[in-house]
Amino acid sequence: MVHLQFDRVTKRFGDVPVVETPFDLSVRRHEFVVFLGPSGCGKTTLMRMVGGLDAPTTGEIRLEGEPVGPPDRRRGMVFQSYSSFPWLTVAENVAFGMKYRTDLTETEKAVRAEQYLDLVGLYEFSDHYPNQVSGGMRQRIAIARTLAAGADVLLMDEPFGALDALRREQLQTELRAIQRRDAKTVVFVTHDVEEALFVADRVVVFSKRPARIVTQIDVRSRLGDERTIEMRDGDDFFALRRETIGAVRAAAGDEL
Amino acid sequence: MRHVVIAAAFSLLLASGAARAEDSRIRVLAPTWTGYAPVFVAMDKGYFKELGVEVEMRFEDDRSNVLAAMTRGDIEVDMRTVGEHQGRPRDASTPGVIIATIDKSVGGDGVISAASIGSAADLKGKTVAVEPNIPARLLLQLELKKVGMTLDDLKIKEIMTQDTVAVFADPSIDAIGTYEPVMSQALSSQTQRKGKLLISSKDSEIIIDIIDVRQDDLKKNPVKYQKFLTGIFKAIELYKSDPAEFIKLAAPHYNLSEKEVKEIFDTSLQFTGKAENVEMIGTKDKPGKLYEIFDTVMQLNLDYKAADAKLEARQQIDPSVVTAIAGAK
Amino acid sequence: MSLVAEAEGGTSDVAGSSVQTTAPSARRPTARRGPFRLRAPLPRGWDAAVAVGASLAILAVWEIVARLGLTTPLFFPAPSTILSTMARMISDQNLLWHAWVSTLRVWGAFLLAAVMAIPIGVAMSGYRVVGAALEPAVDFIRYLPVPALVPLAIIWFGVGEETKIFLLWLGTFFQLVLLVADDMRRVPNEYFEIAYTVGANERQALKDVAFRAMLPSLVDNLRISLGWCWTYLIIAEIVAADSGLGFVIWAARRYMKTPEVMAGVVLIGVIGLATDQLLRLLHRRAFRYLRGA
Repeated sequence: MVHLQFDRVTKRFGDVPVVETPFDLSVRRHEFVVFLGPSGCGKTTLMRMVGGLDAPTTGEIRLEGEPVGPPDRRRGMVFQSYSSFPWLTVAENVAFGMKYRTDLTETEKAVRAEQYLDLVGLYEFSDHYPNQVSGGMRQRIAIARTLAAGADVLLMDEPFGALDALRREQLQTELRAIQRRDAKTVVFVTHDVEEALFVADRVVVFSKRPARIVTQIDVRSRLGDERTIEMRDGDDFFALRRETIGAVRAAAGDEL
Repeated sequence: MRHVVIAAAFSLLLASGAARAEDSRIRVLAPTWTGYAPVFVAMDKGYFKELGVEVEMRFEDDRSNVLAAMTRGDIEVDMRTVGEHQGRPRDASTPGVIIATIDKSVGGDGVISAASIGSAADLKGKTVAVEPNIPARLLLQLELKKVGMTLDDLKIKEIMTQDTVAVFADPSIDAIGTYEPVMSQALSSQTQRKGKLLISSKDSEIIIDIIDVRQDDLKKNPVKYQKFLTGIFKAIELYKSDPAEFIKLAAPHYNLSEKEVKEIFDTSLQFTGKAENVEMIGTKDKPGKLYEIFDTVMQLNLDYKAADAKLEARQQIDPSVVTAIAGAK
Repeated sequence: MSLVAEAEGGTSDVAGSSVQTTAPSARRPTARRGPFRLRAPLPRGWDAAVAVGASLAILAVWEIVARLGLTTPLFFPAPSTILSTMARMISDQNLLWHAWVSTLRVWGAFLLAAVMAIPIGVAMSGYRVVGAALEPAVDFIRYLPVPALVPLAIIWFGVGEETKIFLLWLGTFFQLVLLVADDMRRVPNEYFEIAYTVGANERQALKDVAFRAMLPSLVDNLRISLGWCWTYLIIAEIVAADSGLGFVIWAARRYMKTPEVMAGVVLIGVIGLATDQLLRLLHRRAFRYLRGA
């Protein structure tokens, strides 16, 4: 049940090698995979290539066995900033995910928009503009829009990077719940070890650039499917966190 | 009515240039000088209409713009001084031939100076401000020539003549070549300079405003220009018989009061009607006084390199229109 | 811990473009109070009051200086003289009609420039090849002195309205096109990428997202270039002149009638001020979403 397959992918921007060693990775359907690595290591580029926003220099990325092409609504993106349109209301932003869908009637679109607004807890803010709500709500808008678009792969580039600690924790919990409920495949990029471990089924630890996999951590077998805020204070989580930090340190190498 | 014209002009912005009755229309560009007022008066009085010509006149102070418009065939008539007519870049092939004179400057142009300057000879090495290609420059050249000097003996600063009053306030400027009304204003307002009129067009005959016509159109429609001159001369007759009426019609075109216009007419210029034109232009066989003036001014322009080519008065003046109406009543 | 509780209130956030204000007391670096604190907000209604008050004060000083005879009336007439001159010009010289003609010309040229500059500017920053092709030419022409090009304009367009509109357009278009290109360039890449990942094609991303995103700054830049357009009015309206404020000012200057020159200049300033305020108001109305909660 491989959903997403990286097959000997390399990438360079001009003279700069971003991924030099051919990169192989498979992501199972409904799996929550986190790319963890130092800033600027190339993990974002790998994720963007899944979205079709960048193309591999060599090798191939396959989605359900087919090589990925230009962006489409099966692969939704959530960015850290500029994740919603300031000129649209919260509800219009969510509905924007379906703007170019021809398989739904206007009524169906309206119903779905409400449904996803409700899911991310934004129903009562429907008529607000993004500038009038908090940063956390803006990220929820983006998640709801991506779900409304009908994406089955969510590509998230440090989506909670600009939020304060408490709000981050809450959104991480919600995201994990939504991913399980809607059975989505998620590729999530972050440099925050705790965040990676808290949301992931599997964490892929990257070296500094040019990006290479240092190690992979099977979080699911250690922490299970359910994630609660209490778990973060548990011994299992601490042990896992220590291990991972060790791996990341090694990956950063002489940079530290 | 003007609203409608402007509105139409906008809507036809791109679709303009439609063919019109070429044989009755004359488009004129002239500087903002009251010496050309007879054209406005003839328009307002309906003289041109009676004669069957349609005249439009607009202001354009900048001679290079007028040359561009005439080259393009956008206008038929330009009015300027003889000296400006001759100036660079005119050569024998440049469009525009003199068919008549309209007024001459009688005190309207001149050079004003600080009290310390007694005569043109005292200007040697002094700073003189003057715009290129204005009548005062020619007057200055002519006076300098009489005492064996040229403009090269002075320090010339180029200014905009409109700024005369302000420039005269600057004590480093010894003299300014200028025209009315700013000439009088400079003398009366900058009393600390104890300025005086050093050279005036009153004492000279060379500052004459002429009517320039596009040769190709003149050749095609000579009668149109006979009517045009007839209308202008009729307006000048009106000025002689009823100056108040003439001034009343002329003033609004220049945004001036009647008093202001009267003062300029009284102190600065003299219109040249039919009789004066017959004398100035003459006939093909018996050229008038203008030819001689033309040659004098030409030499001055050549001396100071304000003109490139020596132009022949016989080629630049076409007496046929004046000749044709000379006999008529 | 001083973190704000999860009642989604409002902390500052780099993701949004809004600058959220914290309570003034929380960040007062000096003990200084009142309106002269750096970047301090003015109380409601003060803005207008200070603007009007300061303008009136300037006029009053000017009037007094002129009345005391400290300036030459020939060069610097008193505001009251200018005002009465303006009134006389309105009744005797059709001044308002001239102002109307000038306004039509300016708006005609400005709209023409805008209609051309917006698609071209968008294309210049949207498509690198268009940008590379046009940028040198635009940058070059933008620096040309418009007055020097008047004879050329006459050769091309004659002495009618076309030349006047062309000269006004010339002063506006090349500036505007670069501003539009900049506005487009500042649209975050993320906006395009969001559009693509919900299934938009390039045309749709341009129309539904990029254009919408750049609209507030585009409208601002249009407002600013409309002001430039007015500054070219004199140059345009002294060419084969018979109407407009530029013509009125120039004719008055020819006869050294300073109060009339000033009246014309002041009228242009008043029209400009009124237009600008109106456009600012429309901007605030149309782009309410730019303001935070």
